[in-house]
Amino acid sequence: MMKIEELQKLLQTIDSLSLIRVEIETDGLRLITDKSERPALTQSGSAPTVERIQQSLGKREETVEPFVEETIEVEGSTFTSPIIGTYYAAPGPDADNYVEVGAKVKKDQTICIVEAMKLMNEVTAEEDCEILECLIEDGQPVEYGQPLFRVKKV
Amino acid sequence: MATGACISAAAVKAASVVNYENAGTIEFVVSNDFSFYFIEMNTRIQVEHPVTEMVTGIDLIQAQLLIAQGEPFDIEQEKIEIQGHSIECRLNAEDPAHQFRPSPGLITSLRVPGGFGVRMDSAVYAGYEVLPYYDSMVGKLIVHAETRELAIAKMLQALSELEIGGLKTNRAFHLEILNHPDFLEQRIHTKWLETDWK
Amino acid sequence: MKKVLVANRGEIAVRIIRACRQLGIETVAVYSDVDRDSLHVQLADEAFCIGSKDLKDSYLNMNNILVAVGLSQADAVHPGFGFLSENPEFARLCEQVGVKFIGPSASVIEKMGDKSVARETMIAAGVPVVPGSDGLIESATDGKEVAKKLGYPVLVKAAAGGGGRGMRVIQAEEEFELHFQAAKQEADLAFGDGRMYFSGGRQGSFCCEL
Repeated sequence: MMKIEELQKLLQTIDSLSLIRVEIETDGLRLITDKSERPALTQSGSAPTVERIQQSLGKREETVEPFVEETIEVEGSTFTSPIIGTYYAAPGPDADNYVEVGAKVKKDQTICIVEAMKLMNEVTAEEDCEILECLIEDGQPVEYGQPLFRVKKV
Repeated sequence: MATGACISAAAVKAASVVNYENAGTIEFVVSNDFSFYFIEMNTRIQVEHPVTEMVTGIDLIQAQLLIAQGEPFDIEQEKIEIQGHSIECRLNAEDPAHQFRPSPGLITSLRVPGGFGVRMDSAVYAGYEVLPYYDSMVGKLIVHAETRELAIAKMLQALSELEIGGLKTNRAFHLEILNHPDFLEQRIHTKWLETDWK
Repeated sequence: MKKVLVANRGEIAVRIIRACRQLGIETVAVYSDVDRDSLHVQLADEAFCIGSKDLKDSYLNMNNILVAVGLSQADAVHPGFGFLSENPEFARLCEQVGVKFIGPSASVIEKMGDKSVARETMIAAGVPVVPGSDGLIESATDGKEVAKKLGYPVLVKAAAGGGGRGMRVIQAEEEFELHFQAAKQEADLAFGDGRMYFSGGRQGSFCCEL
């Protein structure tokens, strides 16, 4: 039997792929994931309408796509926010950004600020790395664990 | 005055001496000579609030929101009538075979009971994993009927319909209690499970 | 009130979100990273991941919750039950940052939430209270002395408690230390407050909550 951690990893992998529905059967485990649209409950102030439910039910009946091994190679890893707050790329409105794409930063070097409760929390690099991509815009809210940068260890 | 009415009056008094605003719960114990004692006040909505909602017909969470909004509160104490009988069973992910220790895991299937006067408040669904880091309560099953006997019958039916696949729960334990002669004949007290059970 | 942040998880968070939506109030969920797939996150209009699975980092972290209040511009916070629902400091912080705490005022929570003060208040108001200690149990040694006077079994409870957490029935003096410390630790973990008091548990009584 698969361990919970393995299952979680598998589900995360499936989740990251753009597949609507996946069915896997392997030693004693049958797994079905379905991303076909459900009635949008999260739309502000609007109850699910008959049309929307019918629409999504219709989508559910679409033919099941066969599971195809698909590997997406993304270079580097993601650097996530250690706290919830507001992301700032620079120490002040007129200051230069802490880092730009392509910059090579040292371990413990400040790479951005996440402001929480008027406190400017300096976020530092965990290891020597190169910034490959910035995944968020200046001044935007960030959640705990939200990817901020794509980085490559150097 | 009946004990229940005396307790209600004491509860109202307790809330007014502290100028209490919004929902709260006052707990009392009643001894076997029907005298009663204050234990504590919970300054929040209660886990068992659906029972109050079912017998009074008042949505307590909406009432909390309206009070917080500063809207005129149009529920008068004298007009609150208690109608019928309500029972709530807390459904916990726990293992009855091992001293009811928490038993988290993946819910593989879910069959929810229903019908007139049957209510299930929960946050689980088939495919949801009950996590080991938090409370083991997975939901609450609540019934409302005209009398205690009818409420028990309704709860027995609801519990037997309920199926939480893949998870060990206290469902069967609730069924045993509801079927127990002491429970049916109201010979229960706060130490009953420790002293008289089985 | 246009937008309510629900500072809780599970069934009660869902219950509150439903009630808000029915009144046309928008909802904000907060969650720990392991709760991403929770129903309360799915049902709320907005959701913010506020920390890790550790309670002190997420559902008990006032700072992180208030940051989510700021980011979502919610104008009220519903604490549900458990977690921060009976924490006067949280209610006070909400008042200070100008967001409505859905519940009684911080001073009333302080008065009634502290079970030993609540007992004293009720005694003063002439409401009968369960025989027990009239204040906090400062130490296991003090506790044993009082327990001897009250007679076993005794019920020790967390001053900040509720929902059965930090509560133990102690049957005999030999067990006192063990159960007292366990209850105290449980209270500390669940409420961040390990203060304890006695609440008399009488043989053959009913519990009645109103």
